[in-house]
Amino acid sequence: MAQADRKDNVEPFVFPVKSPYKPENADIVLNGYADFLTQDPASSWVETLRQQGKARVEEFGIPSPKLERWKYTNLFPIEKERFKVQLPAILNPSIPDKLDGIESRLTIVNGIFQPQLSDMPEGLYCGSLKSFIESNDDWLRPYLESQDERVRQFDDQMLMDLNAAYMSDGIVIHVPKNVHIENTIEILSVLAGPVSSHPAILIVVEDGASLTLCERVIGDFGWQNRVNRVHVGSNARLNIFRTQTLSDKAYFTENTVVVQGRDSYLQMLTMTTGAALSRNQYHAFLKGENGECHIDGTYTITDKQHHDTTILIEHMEPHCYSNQTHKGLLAKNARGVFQGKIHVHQKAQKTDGYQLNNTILLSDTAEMDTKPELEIYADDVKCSHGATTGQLDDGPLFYMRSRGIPESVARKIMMQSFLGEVVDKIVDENMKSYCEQILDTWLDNVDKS
Amino acid sequence: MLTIKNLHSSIDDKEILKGLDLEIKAGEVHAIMGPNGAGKSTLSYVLAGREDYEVTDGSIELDGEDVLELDPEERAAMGLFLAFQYPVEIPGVQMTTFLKTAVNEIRKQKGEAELDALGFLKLMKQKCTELGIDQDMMKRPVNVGFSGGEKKRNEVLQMAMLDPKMCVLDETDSGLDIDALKIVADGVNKLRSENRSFLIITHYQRLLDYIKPDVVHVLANGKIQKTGGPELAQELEEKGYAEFERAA
Repeated sequence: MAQADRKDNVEPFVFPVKSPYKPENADIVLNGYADFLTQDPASSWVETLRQQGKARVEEFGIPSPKLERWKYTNLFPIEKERFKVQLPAILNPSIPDKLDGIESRLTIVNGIFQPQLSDMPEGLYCGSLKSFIESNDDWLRPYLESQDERVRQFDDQMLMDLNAAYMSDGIVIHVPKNVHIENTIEILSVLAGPVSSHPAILIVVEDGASLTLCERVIGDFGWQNRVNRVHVGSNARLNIFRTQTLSDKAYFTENTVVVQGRDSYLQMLTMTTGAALSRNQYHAFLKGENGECHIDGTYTITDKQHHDTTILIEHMEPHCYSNQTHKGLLAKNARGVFQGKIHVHQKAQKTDGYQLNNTILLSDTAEMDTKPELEIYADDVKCSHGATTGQLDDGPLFYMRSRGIPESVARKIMMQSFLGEVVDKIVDENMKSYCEQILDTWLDNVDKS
Repeated sequence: MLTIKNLHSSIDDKEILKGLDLEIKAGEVHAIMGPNGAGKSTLSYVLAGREDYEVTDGSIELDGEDVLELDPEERAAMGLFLAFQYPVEIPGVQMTTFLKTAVNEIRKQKGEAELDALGFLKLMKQKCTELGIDQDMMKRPVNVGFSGGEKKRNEVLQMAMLDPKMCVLDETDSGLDIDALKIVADGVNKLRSENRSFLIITHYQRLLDYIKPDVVHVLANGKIQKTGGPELAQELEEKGYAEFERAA
């Protein structure tokens, strides 16, 4: 009896629940929002999307490291900059020539489409998101409105919400059914001036169609927080090769949502050398049988740069193949993050999933956080993942030097061959040689400083 | 050609070479034989300039020039070549790229004009034919997936391409079957000339049936214990190294 009494008197201990959210920092990113709305009023359904996005940002703030998927990437440096959205008149920053072999280019500056800096391709629908919205194209609406439920299940999608709150412009590329676009199309995304921009890129490749895109993200200042929506229809093919070579004073965050149909093929390869802080987040849905999805990347960063690749590939139907190969070099105090996950749904038998993350640390103070994950509910699948973090191997270095190759040249050859596994996947020859040039310059400079 | 005087070397504070003397004249072939742990591989790595090995005393001169102060790549440019006991795999680097870089970096250090792609391919084709090496090997990454014999033949090919004056072969015969051994020995014999010297480090006498040495040394406990003619190798094969290990 006495024992029971004592039990009754003691109040059960409850762990204090600390919210991982920081709604208080919503003000920072919504600073000047009223001005934005006056400057850029939108039609009713876009207005609804904006309001929904804004409401969620107000409720949850922007992601903090207390959230599981943001543990290694702190957005505080961006908060500190207090960037505002500015809708300029027409901007004319100096821009590079088109890549070799490219005829058509779509240019956005601070997220705003620039017709005067663009050469429109033929044979497909494309142009500024704003013009598509204004023409009241009903075709477009479901792509922007439908928030895939599985994307929404994550409680850390505030950057997507923020992007929706500022929905205004971007790029739409729509390849109609069974159309093959032979010439590679370039997207040039320029950040100019210390402002934030939230463009949306919508790429729809309809059933049986094919397209190759190259994209360059360049600029000196500012923050781009974009959303890419990629739809690859049945038996359609899409290759996207991208370089992000922003200055180390710029910031880049993006969410890419991929939806693939039956027998579709997607390759998305991103080379990162720039930005003070960047995060490329992908969420791919293999929604039809026999889909193939490649999401690859390299990150070569130095000083205090921070790069994060976060991937979730969902195998929802049988016989799909997915591959993630991500390799990086981290110099000085650079920090890299890789969080890659393959989720195999119960129905997705005969899934073939492959994931690899290799990093070479070039200094004692560089840091890599890598987290490969598999979540498998089907019983007949082939999935593998691997992650290594190390330094340049002494053995091959000495071997090459003993053959007369100076140490700096030997180091460069080893670093090139390390990244070569990813670079060799670029099937567009012009883009490949452009990427090789960028890496070459990076490698030449990294050992000098 | 090569003069080593009173060489002391240690790794991780453990002394391996304890006062080694060696003199090789131009055109001579010397063999160093010795038991496990005698310091054979240490000698080859010290010659090539591996940083883990500390030279605490003594000197190494190649044609009167001090070698110890030089980086491995500078030694290679002077004409020193080490055929590795365990050739290193370099994934992702094609043999052709590797060799072309090596040939041209050495030419650059010597102040000679670099070979263009065509000139290089011609040289490579010629050397491959001379040594009976399949050129398909040149399209593969350096040593990756090579058989034991292929790796050693590759070392001899590199030797032929880089045209060194002092060649050190570190247990090039270890682990080879007799056919592979003959091919490797044959390659080395073709490279023999009055301007080129060889130092052949081996555990077994067998290799010396195919590459006839001028001088044979016995290395044990970090020192040359005995020097003689080719007959010394035969003697060692019969008696083993026990005598020298005891003596030291």
